[in-house]
Amino acid sequence: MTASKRQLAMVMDLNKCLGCHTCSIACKTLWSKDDGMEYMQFNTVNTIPGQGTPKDWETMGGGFDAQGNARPARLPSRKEYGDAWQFSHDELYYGGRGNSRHLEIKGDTPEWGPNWDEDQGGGVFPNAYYFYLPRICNHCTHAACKEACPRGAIEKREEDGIVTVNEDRCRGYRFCQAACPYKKIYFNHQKHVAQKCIFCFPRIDEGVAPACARQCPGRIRFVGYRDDQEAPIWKLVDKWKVALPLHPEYGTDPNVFYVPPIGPAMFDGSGDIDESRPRIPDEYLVGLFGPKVLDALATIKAEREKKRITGKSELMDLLIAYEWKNMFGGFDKDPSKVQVATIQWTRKR
Amino acid sequence: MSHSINTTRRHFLKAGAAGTLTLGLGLSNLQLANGATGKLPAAAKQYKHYQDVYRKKWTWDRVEVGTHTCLNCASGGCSWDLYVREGIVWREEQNAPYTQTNPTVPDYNPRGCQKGASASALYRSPARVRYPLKRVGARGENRWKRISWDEALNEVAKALVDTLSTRGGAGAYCENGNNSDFGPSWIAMIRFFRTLGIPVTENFGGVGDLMTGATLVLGNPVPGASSDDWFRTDYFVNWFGNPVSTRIPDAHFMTEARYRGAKIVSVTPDFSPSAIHADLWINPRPGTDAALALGACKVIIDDNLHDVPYIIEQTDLPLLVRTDTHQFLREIDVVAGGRKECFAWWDEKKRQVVWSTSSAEFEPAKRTLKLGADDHPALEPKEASIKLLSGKTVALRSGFSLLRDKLAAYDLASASKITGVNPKVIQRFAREFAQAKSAMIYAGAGMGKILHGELVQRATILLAAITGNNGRAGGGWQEMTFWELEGMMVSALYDHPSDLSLQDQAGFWGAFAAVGAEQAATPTYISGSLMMLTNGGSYDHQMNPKYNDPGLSRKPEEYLKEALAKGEIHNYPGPELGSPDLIFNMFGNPFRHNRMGDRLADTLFKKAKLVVDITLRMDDAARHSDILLPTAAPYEKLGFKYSIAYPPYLHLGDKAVAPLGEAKSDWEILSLLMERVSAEAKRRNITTVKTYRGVPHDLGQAYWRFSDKGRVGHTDDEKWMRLILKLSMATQGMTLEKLRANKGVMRYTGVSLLGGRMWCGTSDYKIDEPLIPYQDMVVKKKPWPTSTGRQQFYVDHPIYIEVGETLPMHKEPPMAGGSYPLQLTCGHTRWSIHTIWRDLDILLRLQRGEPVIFVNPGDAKSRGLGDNDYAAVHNDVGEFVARVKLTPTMRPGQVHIYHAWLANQFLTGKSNDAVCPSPVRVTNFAGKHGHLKSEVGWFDLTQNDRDTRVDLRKYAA
Repeated sequence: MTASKRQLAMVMDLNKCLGCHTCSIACKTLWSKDDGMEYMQFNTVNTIPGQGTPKDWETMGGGFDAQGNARPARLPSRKEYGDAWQFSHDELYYGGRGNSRHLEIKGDTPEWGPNWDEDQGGGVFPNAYYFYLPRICNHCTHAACKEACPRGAIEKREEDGIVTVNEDRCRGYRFCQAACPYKKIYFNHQKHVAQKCIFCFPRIDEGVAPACARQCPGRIRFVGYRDDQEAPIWKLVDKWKVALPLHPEYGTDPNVFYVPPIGPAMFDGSGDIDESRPRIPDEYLVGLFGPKVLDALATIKAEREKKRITGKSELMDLLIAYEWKNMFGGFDKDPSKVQVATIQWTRKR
Repeated sequence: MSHSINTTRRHFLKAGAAGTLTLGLGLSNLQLANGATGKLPAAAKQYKHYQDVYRKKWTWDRVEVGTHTCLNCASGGCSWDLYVREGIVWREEQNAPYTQTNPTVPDYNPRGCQKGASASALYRSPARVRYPLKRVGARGENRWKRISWDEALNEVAKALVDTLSTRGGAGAYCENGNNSDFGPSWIAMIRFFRTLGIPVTENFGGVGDLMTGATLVLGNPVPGASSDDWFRTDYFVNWFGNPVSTRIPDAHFMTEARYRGAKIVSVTPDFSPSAIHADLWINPRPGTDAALALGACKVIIDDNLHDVPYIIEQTDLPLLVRTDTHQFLREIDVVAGGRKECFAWWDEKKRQVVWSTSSAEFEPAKRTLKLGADDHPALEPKEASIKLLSGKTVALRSGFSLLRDKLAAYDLASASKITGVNPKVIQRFAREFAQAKSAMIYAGAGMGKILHGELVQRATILLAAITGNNGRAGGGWQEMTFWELEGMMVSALYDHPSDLSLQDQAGFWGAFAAVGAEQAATPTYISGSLMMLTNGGSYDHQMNPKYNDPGLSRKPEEYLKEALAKGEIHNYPGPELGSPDLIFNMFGNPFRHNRMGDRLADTLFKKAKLVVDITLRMDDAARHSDILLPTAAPYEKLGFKYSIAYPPYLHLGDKAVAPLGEAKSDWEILSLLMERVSAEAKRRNITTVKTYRGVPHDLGQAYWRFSDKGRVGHTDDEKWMRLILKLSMATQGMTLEKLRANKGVMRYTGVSLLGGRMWCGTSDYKIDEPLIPYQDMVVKKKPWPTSTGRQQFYVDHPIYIEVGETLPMHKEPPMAGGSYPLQLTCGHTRWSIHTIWRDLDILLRLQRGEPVIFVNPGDAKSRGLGDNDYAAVHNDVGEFVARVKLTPTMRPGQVHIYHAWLANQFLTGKSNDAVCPSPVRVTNFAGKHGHLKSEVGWFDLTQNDRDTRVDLRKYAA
């Protein structure tokens, strides 16, 4: 395994995610409109507790065990991702069948989709709880997909650690798709290649932040190099330690981190406020982010109180993100100003 | 393109061995043409790497800056760039141009949401109408044939002249759904129908967004400020609203305020998407919010936490009420020739009645909220009395002492019983609210959509007022407000706006006076909610006493009849408008935004000979129309975004690309049409026709008037844009060129001097401060725009006295729709701005693809319903079918559906609006009472739906 020289990373603040899916659409309209890509959501946002995308992905294995051995895994099916349903607009609007038709989903009745269980959540009323969890490829330091590919078709860029599928080398074996414990690799059934989030490397190469990050109206996403101590990523992940990887036990060293969510107070049996324990159970968050999440939550609460009383807290100021441009670790160029790439589709002798 | 391909075997193998391009041909001699020279640009990168395929995906021909006037979005503007390839919009991305107001608040960037990000997909989608279409077969059958613009315009012009010459303006009307811009589109509609004397529906009340309670108390239905002010709050109460889903570009100010140490409270019966980011979720039983607010008020007053000086200066609570009539004491009662809108307090020291200088009819030069050095208004006077003109002496009580009596019914035990909220929670909430340095009640538009919403508004404003929060930075009762653009108003309403300039003040205000006179004779707007009630087929359900307040002593329809007899209702569309020959539809979908809107098919629409829909897309209204005229999408024409104050910036919606197909801008469509109307009138020698109110005008001259003496031609949309900038106080110094150079966005440079609907009560606008409302009153002591000149909680119109609502109170939600066990609530979806995006495939794939209803697992189980089952949701009014989503976030006894699904997205073609009887709020019929004036968009009948009672049963598809 060759480590990259530097590693780009993303932090997502789950206290600010609105579940709006602007990130999903930003990515979709940019990268995944081509043939075979219709069902792909490189960026997903799920309501959790929930079964996620693909359905029950956390039970599908992959990644590495504590000894570093590959864990058994299985491939998700198309149905488990949710297909790109086609609708009967033309028939409805022009077919001359009046009210006897409604807007139908063509083909099989869907049983799952990329946001099927939106706003359902867990718990029991009135102590129900949920939050939104956006996910992209984690561009792992120890990428299971990369190890799993027998053709070496998955590459990790030396300059920034972005993991990409070399679609020229890929022969569509799909070992990567099973090996990824986050199930963030899709298979293009028309082109027979694996495809996934590319961390918007064409934008990165031009100094522009990934679309999902830049377009997020909730201002939840930070971008930057792991080692850049001037930028928010290092401060949130390594200095303040409030941004944590999802399922660290999968053993792949992911480079997308999350600031854990804090929900409103619970109610006791009489309907009075019960502040003895959090609405989002600690065990649930530990199950997602590992035991360090409890320290992270404590730090956030303490710094919030400090900001409230004294008006000063470096951590709170980072998370508030007074100036939006500063969220992107230097990748703050305006995309409309970029010199568009022109590619010469020839090969020199 | 000429090329030679060397396909000898040697070259083929060479190419294959290198393994780069998969085309398998020796392409070294392949020349790609590029312009006239056939040469490649010097900087062209050599393809060497699969990654270049992705690089190539991220390319475009040009960027159009400052587009996307997402119609009718109440969050206000968001600035987008469009990336265009070969004349077609490929995708869009926010351009994030907003500079920080000042270093103490976060900046506005980036704004935008998933709807903006998929706007171009929507405008290219199958729902988009691209050509003029004419119905073939029966109405509603959805069989169409394409016709030319010529044919379409001629047919419509002929129908207009037929109708106007035989029935005048009363033979036609225009349904207006509010999904317009603040620019040439809205100007076009108003100029067109105003010139022809045809009424246009106004639907602020119709959709239920009109906050009549805010009109009553604050003298304005849309009081609010800029959203960066949310950041400065210490206690943010999100009441009845769901900003996480409905204020996507602004919600970050709330989540970031939380990191600043502010406490966030969400008041909502179910655990909503906004409650997840709160510190405290309070869940009153649906419709009992007034009891919660009043219970909190009682705690605060009993604990002496209320702000007495503020209450005395800024509210009507020290003013005196007669104990005999329950009306305010007025000068006219006591002094011969005295003033009606002149009210009094009791002076403690002088032991007498003193007339309040804040009163509406006090001498204008002396009107002020400022109290004199020896003014000592008593908040709760004992033994106050006065001798009336009649000679009788009457005891007087202050509004505050009457309020204290009223609040006795909302002690903690009672408030808890009504709301289902634990008394300790109510108490804690009240104390925290009162003791916060600044507390804000951010009122969701849902507050207008229950029958007793007006009372909830009054009660929650009271809570903000007695704690002195209205007017504090980061505080007060707020919802959305607009930045008034006089230039747009006068361009629409005045015949010759090109003659005007702000330098000629006399001319400018003279124009408004002329507008006033013309509107008085023939109001362009009629109330959309009253049109639906009177002529739309919903009367019986809306007037059913069983669905209304059981405490009413008369039938609901009696109140309407009485108000009409007294002439208290303005903009009333009577039965004489119930049989139009000709219906136009613009900017909306009346079948969807009206509760029971499906009935329009059998009433107004059935009676019309010709229905014309000027529309972007196919929807319920289009399907019931005869001629569809395709309108340009927002970035295919010029316009300004709704000038909502959340972002205090003007947003340009530039014309980025040519309209798709044969679409035209609204201005061009109506201009072409008007030209033909006048030409046809002249051809037939028709001169005088009458407006719908009987005012004669010359139809042959209509185009001359419409086009501002011929100065604004068919494709002169830009002239309106420039006129708006020139004639609005908020846009002085702005030009289209400067806007374009600034990514289509510029901070407002001033505030309007026009009072009225669109106002926030702050005229000293500082460009480097968040806008806080009500500063003119709280700081400058100018009177509030109410009769008393104060925040007015006591209402003494006879209807209010009759129904017991002189002061805010709680009234039980009615059993709207019948005696059924479940309450159906609704909320604005995150997935669409009303119906516009509702059926877009890439967004539907991120949901379940069809309408869903949220149900508590217990309620579902007892009805044999599992997740994703179809359920029939029914009551006495109607039925619809939707898929069930089980969720523990839903309160038992409550079921919830998000709004704006098109009727044809439902399995049986009936939407959730089909079960909502929208009982009439009888106080909406009041008028002619000081600032309580019946007026569309001000004080009008509001539709409601969130008290609807239903049951669910499993539905076999």
